[in-house]
Amino acid sequence: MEAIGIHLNNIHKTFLHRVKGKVKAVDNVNLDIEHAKLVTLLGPSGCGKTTTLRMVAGFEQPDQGTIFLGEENVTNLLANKRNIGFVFQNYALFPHLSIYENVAYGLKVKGIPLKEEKERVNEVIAMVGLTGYEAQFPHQISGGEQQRVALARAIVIRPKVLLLDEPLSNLDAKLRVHTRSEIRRLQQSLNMTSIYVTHDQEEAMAISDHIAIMNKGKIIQVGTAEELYFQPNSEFVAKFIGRINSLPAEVQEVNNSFIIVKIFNHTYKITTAPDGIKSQQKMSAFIRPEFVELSQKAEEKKLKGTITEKVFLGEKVEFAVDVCGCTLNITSYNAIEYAKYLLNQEVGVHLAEKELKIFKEKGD
Amino acid sequence: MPAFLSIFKKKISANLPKDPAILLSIMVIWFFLLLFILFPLSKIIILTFEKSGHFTLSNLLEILNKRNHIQAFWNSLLLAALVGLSGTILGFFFAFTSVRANLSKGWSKFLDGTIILPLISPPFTTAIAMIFSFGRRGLITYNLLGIKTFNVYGLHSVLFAETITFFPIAYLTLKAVLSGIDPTVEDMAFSLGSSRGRVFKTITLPLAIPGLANSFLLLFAASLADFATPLILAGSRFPVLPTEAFLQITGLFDIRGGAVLSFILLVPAFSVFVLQRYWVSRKYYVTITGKAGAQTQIKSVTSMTGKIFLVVCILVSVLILYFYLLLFYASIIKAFGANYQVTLQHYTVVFTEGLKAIKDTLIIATTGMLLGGFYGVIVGYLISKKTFISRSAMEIVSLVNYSLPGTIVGIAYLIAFNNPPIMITGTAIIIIACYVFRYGATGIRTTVAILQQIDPSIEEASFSLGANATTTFKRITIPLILPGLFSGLGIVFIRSMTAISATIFLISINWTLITVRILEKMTELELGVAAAFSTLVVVIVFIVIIFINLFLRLFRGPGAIDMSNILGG
Repeated sequence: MEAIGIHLNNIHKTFLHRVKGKVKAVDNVNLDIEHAKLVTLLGPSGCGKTTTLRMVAGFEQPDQGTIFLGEENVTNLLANKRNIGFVFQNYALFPHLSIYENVAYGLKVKGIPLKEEKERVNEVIAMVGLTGYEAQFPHQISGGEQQRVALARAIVIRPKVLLLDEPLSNLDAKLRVHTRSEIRRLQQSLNMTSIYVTHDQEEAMAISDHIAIMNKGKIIQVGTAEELYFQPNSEFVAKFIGRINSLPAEVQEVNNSFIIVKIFNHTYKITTAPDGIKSQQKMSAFIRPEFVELSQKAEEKKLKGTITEKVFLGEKVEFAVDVCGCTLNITSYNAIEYAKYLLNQEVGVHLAEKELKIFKEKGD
Repeated sequence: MPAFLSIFKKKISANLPKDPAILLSIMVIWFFLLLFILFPLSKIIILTFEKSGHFTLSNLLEILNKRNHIQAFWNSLLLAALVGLSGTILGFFFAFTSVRANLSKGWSKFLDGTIILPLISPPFTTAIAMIFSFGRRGLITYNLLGIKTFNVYGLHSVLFAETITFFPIAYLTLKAVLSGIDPTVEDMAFSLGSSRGRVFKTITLPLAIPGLANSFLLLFAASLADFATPLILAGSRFPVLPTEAFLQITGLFDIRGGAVLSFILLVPAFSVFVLQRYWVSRKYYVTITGKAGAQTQIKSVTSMTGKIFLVVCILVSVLILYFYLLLFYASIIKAFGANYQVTLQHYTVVFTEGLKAIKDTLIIATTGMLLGGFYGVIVGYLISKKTFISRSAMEIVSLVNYSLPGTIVGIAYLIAFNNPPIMITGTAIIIIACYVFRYGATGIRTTVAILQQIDPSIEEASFSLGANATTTFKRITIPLILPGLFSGLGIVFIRSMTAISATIFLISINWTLITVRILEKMTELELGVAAAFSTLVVVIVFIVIIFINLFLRLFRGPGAIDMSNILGG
């Protein structure tokens, strides 16, 4: 089947919360997903990612906005008319049906001839590695196997799009890593446009073509894992993907192509600053732990600090360094060299100027 | 179109189910609810407050002016309160013993087995046995103790009989509550230095209080509604509302008077319904019923106290068993208290002259069971799985006939369906409709209880695979609730076999019921035949229960729940 795109236009959804009253679960979401791509909706719990997914599936109705699967406007179409594959967080296997019957259910509903049904069911059961389990019932197999049945049941109907709602959250850590690469492999080999919901950033980075970071019902940024990590558009994204240090900064000079900020009496030139920054403005500058370097001697020209914490992790060493009362996290992958630094040692601290970021928006 | 209109239209359509099958079912159900629940009830109210087309209080005042009626009102309340109290105490004692006294499995089963008996028996069983035991020629009072002047009729006997009949409801309710209290909570109190008595007083009892209140209200309502026991045992000195209303209609042919009396009964009954629904049910400490704690040796009572408790429970159970044996014995001897020669003559009467009643009862109970089960599943499904305008109204209305005393429902049907446009008095339809919309509520409750255990995503999974609401209901929902549904059906059948308070007003020459025949035989003083009929009902009900249990054992699906949960309350 030809893969199609998914387009969400100005989607709004309000829920009535028992305590908080009206809550904007999804607030003007726009998202275009190219065909055969896997896009992850990533965000903290309650950010609206699952609600968005459920609206694409047709389990919820948007208050406003339109949803297109390919060229077709499906906004007012019932879930059973959309031809989607949905994998639930709790799998939602039919407890009274065997594995075979679970997988075959969607084909039976569509009235697929018995012979074709058998072929297709056996094919996907083999694809997820469960041949031999056909006659078992859901409660007789393990969590990981149940997860694979849920996946098989969703893809056997050859859906236009595959939607996955935190499909790995009930598995243990090791199985999670294994299963996510299986899902990715299946998705790519079947060329299925997919939306994947998770709150686990590592999972998102491992499995996606693109990630859409959501917070408080809005999409904050969409991009590849690299783009989000290296070019976050807001403090929220920077803090949500990976770790980042926040430092007090004062704007000294605003130019066309760069600005100069002062951090602890040292000046830095930032070329990636957003528009609208004013001179003398006080704000926060950000830098990731791996872009801060230490030197044995505290020099005049550099920032000075004291090591307050040191954790040796084998391939890397992590430090907490106190600089003028502000704690900086520092990670070094040069473990041999950095193992020499000691607790309470006075050190020089060097910020990689190119990697310093300032944001206009907080993103939350 | 103006903007506000389109918003309004959007709001309506958002709340209306998109699936036409669902929309249609909702409309059909509402039609029946209006016809068979609200319409009859409104008739009682109209008859109470209307005289020649005007609103008036004179009907009410006229009835209330009779001392007998005022007396009946207070008697009903007094009796209900006393039964509520004594039944709850006895039920709690049994429940506590069963859950917290380390009973062996055998004793546990014995207690559960005998306690269930009064719940599934025809309404007169205890009352008849009381007469046989404590009447003028009673086995205990006359033969054993030689008392010739003991008066079995009055408050004391009704209270005793109703306590025995209804305390199982308290037992089932409180057993669920007590087993929901994690014993490790009690362990914690022990570890902090509390004695057993103190743990009971400060931990177990306070946690059980919502359950106790609930049980009190359930028993209060059951006693308030009870028609059969007072009719046999109350005598003329202790009138209660249901029997007064019955006599007003069948004795004096005063339908309006009966309606007014049942309206008076409606007031406390409805208050209890509201109290139970909106107050007590929200007070449960849900958190304690969550995850089961670690296995722990229960140490609430010393083993000596436990044994004493067990002995008391066994004595009460033996009393219940004795009542049933006595009933059977009375059915196979010539005349209780006079001629103890063994005979089958009463059964001959049952299977010749009484055959029509047996046939009618079985036909009506079976039809009522099937229709009631169907109705229960549809309504239960709609109110627990669908959101639509009038959903909570549907839930409340569908439970009304079940919650109100049968006397009210019976009189309401009698008034409502005696005249055009819908004249079905004298047919089987009116009795079946009465059962369906009264006992179908147990089907609704069972369905709701099971559906609450089924995750909504299971149905969504079916939708996402292309199935519409009807297919999903047929292939996913129904199979999952089938085992529970089956036991729900069984309950409807049992209730239909043993009911009398509502249907006594609805029988006719064409259609009669076993329970009504029992009452007639009681009043004609053919106690042997009455006992034989009662024994027959108990036997039929037992066969049905065995079938249900066999079925549940065969198809114990993930949605199946214990039958005792449905019987309780």
